[in-house]
Amino acid sequence: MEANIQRPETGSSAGKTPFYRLRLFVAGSEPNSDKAKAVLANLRDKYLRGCCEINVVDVFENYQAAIDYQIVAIPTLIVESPPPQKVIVGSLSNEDTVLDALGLAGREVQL
Amino acid sequence: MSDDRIPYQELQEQLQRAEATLSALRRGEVDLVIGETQPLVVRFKDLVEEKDRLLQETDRLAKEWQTTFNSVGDAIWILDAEQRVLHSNKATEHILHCSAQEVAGKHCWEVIHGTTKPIPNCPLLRTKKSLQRESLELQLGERWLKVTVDPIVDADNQFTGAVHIVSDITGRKQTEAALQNSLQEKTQLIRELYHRTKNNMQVIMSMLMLQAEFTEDEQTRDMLQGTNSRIHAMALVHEKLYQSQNLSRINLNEYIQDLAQLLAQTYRVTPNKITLAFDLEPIPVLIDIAVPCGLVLNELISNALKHAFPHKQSGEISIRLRRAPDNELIILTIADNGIGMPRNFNYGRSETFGLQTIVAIVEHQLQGKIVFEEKNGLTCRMQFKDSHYEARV
Repeated sequence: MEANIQRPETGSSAGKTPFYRLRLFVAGSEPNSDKAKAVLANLRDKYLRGCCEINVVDVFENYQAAIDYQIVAIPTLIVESPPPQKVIVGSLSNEDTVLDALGLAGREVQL
Repeated sequence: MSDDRIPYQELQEQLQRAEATLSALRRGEVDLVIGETQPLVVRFKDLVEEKDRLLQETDRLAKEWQTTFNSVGDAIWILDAEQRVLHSNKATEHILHCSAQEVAGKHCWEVIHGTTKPIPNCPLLRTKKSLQRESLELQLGERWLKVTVDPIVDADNQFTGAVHIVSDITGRKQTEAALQNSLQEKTQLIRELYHRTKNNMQVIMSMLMLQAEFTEDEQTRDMLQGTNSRIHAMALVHEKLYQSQNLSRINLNEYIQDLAQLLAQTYRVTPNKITLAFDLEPIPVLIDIAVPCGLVLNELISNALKHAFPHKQSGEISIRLRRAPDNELIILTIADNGIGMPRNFNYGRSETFGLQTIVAIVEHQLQGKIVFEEKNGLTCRMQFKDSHYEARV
């Protein structure tokens, strides 16, 4: 399932949270994929409310997308923006790594 | 410059991505691996789980093996083909008083015998040749050890090492020695008992002879002498028994010979006049067979000595002992070439004590058969089984 919602980038200025475009490749409901989805949903709720777009791609339904994006292992999260693009492989179980990749390390939780 | 930098950065990124992928794989955080040219999907997770499960199982088995190895009460070593200790278990400390570290890598003979080469008769060398279990009992000071060696062979049945087991058998050895002593003591007692029985019979014989001397009546004297002779036949069995090795059996052939010679002496036979001819097969029998057999022989031989050769006639008494070819029956034949029985003598209705005794003993005690035959003298043939009785001593 690919939910590729195009959304115009809103102007971002210094100090404001940038807009995040994330693409998570999963394999149906395999355990690590489910775990990655849950971790990402939690992160979105904690840090990225209203400023992100998350596309979840199930390779069982769209295998070609995995090849196009040169994905090697599932689950993989691609942080497409803000640049530079970053790739995290695995179930996103290490929160520090993910926060670091998103540039959110040390950021206060949005309430 | 700028043309070079971009591919380098890309390379760097690809490398980082590859490393991240590998480490996620190692952590088991990957569900699938994507094939590059065709939609090949590999379930990797199961493999990781299987690997973990196998590692755990291996670990568990290794622990189980080690625990078992160390729980055995015998000192067990696993040796390589050159007889060096590869593994030793915990009991090694108790039995051989040396730690696993002290034993490791050493040759077995260094540890056990303190020698620089294998001892003669080393069970390990024998196992190497025979590829079978070999063992040796050896004394170390006060203690007895049993060394058992089992070979370890490869698929081609080549010797690659051995399992070397040392057990402390001091307790067993002590028990064995005690049993041996006890057995010797009992043997001595039984021998003593046979001896005393024989002695008591001799005392009875002396009393009978004494009484015979004071008796005027010839018939009474004969009776007393007959009884004396029967007791003597029984006493001889006991004498043979206490002299015999196994205490429960005597050699019937030796007994017959001794008894016949004894009777010849008793009846003061001139050796040249009446000769005894023996043709006896060695047959060991129990006391239950020997005593009745002796009593019958006593009657038959006495009878022949007394009556077969009157008027200092010369002759021969021959005694033949055989086991029947089927091994079941013992056949005993006593023949003389004397004058034979009186005319019209009826063996079945005879009322003489001696003959009655013979028939009763053979038929009832020995459960056998007896036949008399007159042809150039008297021949008596009897046959009986020796399997009715079981050894009691």
